[in-house]
Amino acid sequence: MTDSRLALVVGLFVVPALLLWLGHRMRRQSAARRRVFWGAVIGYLAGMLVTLVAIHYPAVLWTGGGWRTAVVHWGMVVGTAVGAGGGIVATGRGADG
Amino acid sequence: MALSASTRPAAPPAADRRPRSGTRGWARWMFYSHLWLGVVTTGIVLIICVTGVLLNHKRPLGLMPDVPNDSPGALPQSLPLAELAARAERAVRPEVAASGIDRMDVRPGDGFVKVRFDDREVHEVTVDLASGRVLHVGLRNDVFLEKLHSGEIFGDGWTLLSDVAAIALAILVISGLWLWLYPRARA
Repeated sequence: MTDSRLALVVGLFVVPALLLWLGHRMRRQSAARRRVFWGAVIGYLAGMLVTLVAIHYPAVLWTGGGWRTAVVHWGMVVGTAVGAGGGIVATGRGADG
Repeated sequence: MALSASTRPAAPPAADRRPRSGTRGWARWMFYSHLWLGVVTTGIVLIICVTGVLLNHKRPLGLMPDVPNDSPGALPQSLPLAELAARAERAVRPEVAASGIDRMDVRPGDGFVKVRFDDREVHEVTVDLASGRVLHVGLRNDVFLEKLHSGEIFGDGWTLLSDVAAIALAILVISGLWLWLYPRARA
């Protein structure tokens, strides 16, 4: 299995399972951790939406390089990472303010 | 007429209203299977749903060519298969022809053969059986969608992924129904 294919499988199954596991007892977590968690959830959902569109449009097999192939394989993983990063940034700003 | 406090039947003690431990364990299993399966299989179930809807409407959406043949010839007048394949190969780009022919779908009633190539975009050439005239050159997008729907697009063994998603969906439906019917069993 290639790295890209592995990223797609991780994005489809491992990331949501990890987020669900991290989401347990969220009320007991600090505000900063909650922001990172919700950022990751929102990023994951946005990444999934973009990936779903990229997978189906156009209705032709994705192979080789290009933006579409990259989005199909890495969309959900990168979306989660970007969302969590956004949560960290928001936490930093919240602490400054 | 409203009952006074003295005539109203006494509520059963809290311990009696509480579901039995076996029922609670079953309810917890239903709840957590619904939660975990629902979240973990969201992506794959969505892909299967979208491809299923698109495949149901593949003709109106133009995902497969719908070629009419106004003057279909009789089957005995057909050209040899090798000749029809050669004409189809000449109708597409050299790189598509080089990918090879995946299959030839002969339609005697319509008087044509659909020659499908094994390229990434899945080109299909429709050739008149009797005259060898190329009627249409187009893409079979539904082949891609079928492979995506079944999981075959990821490889041969990946069709099991579609089976897992289908089983997960069945468990989700059953557990969802159970949770709706017995909402307090988990308490």
